[in-house]
Amino acid sequence: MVALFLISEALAGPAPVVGSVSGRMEAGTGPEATARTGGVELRLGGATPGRTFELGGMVAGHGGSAGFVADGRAQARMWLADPSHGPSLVLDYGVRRSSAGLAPAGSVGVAWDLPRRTRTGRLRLGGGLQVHGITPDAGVFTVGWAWGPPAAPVADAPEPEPEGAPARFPDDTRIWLPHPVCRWVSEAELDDVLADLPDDQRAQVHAAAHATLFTQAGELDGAALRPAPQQGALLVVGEPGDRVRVGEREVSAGVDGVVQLTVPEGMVTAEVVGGGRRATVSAAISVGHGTWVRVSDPAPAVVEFAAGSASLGSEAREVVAALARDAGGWRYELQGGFSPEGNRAANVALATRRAEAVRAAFLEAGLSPDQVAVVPAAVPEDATDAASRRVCTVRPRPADGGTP
Amino acid sequence: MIALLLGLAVAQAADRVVVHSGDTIESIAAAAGDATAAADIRAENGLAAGEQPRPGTLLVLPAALSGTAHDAAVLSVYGGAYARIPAVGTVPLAVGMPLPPGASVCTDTDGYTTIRLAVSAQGSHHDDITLLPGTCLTIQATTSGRSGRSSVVALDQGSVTVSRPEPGEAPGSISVSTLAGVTSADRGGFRVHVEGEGARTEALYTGLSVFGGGVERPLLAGQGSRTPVGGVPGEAVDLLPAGAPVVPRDGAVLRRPDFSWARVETALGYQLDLARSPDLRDMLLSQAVDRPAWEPDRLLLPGDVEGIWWQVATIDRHGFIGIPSPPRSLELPAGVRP
Repeated sequence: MVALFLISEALAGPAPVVGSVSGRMEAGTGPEATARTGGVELRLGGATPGRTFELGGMVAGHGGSAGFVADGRAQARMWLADPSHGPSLVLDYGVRRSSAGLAPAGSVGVAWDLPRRTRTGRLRLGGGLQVHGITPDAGVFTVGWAWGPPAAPVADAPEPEPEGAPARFPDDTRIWLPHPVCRWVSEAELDDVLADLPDDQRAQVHAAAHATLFTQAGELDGAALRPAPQQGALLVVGEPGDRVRVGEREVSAGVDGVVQLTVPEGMVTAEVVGGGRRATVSAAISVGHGTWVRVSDPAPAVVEFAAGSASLGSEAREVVAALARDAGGWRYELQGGFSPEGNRAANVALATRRAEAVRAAFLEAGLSPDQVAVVPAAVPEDATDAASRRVCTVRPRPADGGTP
Repeated sequence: MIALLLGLAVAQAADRVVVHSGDTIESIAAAAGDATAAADIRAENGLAAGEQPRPGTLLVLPAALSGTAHDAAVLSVYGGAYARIPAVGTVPLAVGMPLPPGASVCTDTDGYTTIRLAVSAQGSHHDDITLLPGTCLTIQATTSGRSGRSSVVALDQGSVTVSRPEPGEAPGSISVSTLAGVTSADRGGFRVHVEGEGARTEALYTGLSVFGGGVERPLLAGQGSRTPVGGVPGEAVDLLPAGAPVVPRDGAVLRRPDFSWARVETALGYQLDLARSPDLRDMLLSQAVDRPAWEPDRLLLPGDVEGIWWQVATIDRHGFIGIPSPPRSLELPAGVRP
């Protein structure tokens, strides 16, 4: 019963099943072992957490001069040192059934597992002293095969890093994010925290995070440096209001008109949108270097009108739609114009209506009212090229802080 | 460490001295410490008895009068640069590489390098020369001895800047010879450029002499002179001052590479230098521009630097480049800097 209890306890939960089969020999003078006897024993148990113990039971049967003997015992095995270098101490106690009937019996012994050729099996040699009741009566020698996971060392030595295994950081790894975040975050939080940053700071903080110190929380001893990727810095020099797209990333320029990105080594192409221009720039990125690439300022555009008209034709609407689509964060100044023939006051009013018509088209195309402003009409100084005066000039102005 | 390298790499090369106006073989022998060695000097240089060399001649001193010869060494490299070393061949330049007398050093069209020439016996004083892109020179002698340091290089093409000595540094004679003549100074702080039909010298921080056609032309600090091949050095001209830098301000983080400085009247253009050392020995870029601003379309800078320093000098209508402005420092943005 005890044996069954211990076996069931040991096998409960995640404890691995362990066991052994041994040839057994007893030699002694006790009432149950007056001559050499031999037999077979089966031990079955489970390793407890930490694996320095096994709890289980044994059954054995053997014959000899005293007739057939059967043992049923609970057992405990304890490793006193590193299992790969030291013996285990075995204690078992239970009942023995022989021709004399049932009687308490047990043994104290040691066993040595060798060599450890596989994870699940090894030769086990054992020996000990058997007691009948509490009186020693025989020596026991066993040679057998043990199976199950080998016991772990008594000391909690770290498991060796598997060769070639991908580097993984512990779940409690923390990453230091510099100014303006200034705090440790978990790897899982990293993207969310970066997403909350202004566009112009995100790349900077992200780049710093690549080279920052990763450590288990509260344990600087466990610090490790995350290997920096083979990347370089790309700085697209435009104006405030520009939007820069590299691959799937789109970043708006900061107040200095610069977008800084950390990108892989090699050729990189960036699309810059703002002020009505859509420019593509490319650069060869070198690891550990900064590459500045300047984008030309957008040129003014014109929306043409028919003589005496302030209505936008289809071509003019296409121009406005393209400018609106590529406005980015820029503003537009709209200045109506007119050809010099006719009444001056009526012409100025016409020019203003032209600018207002363009403004309305911009608003219709999705720009906000503060992105389009009408300025006083342009008064022609001479009569040359009258057709080119019947326009509304659209002048891009960068977001606050820009220079053009 | 470079000084140590230099100290260990003793080469067999003799001192060379430049003959100044009024010098005689006898006075040179006396100045070298052995007034009786005049005949030896004449023999060493193929001069007949009683013959006197012309000013600007580079005389080879007998070994007994020479200081200890050293190898030069590469102090910094950026971009493409290589050396042709006798008995070794052509090799890419690397920092710390020894350069024995006779070695030629060349920079590619994007290369900069600074060579440490003569070093004092204690290694604490030295003479450095910076090669701009497209420059080739041959190291003829780098020695140090009782009479001080002496360096002689032959500039085949391009432009060099001989660094200004650091405060408290003992003078060392540096001579740069070209097909047109010789520039010789007791202290650094000058430039020499090989031009189409001659050479140009700019004395920046100290006086020096330019020789050509047997004539010595003394220049004061802040003066320049041009020497045609086969001719004599031209009249000294005053170099233009530098326009005061405006942006970026000193110590700024370099986000927008927009450089500007005060306009200098009568300037033909300006030269802006970028380096990764405050003494501008570790050059990264030298750019000529025609207005008092530089806004490059593209700029590539290494991130592994302590900082970036920049200075600007004015180019006058004769092509002379003036004394540069005091260098300003810049920081690279986080993310560019590792």
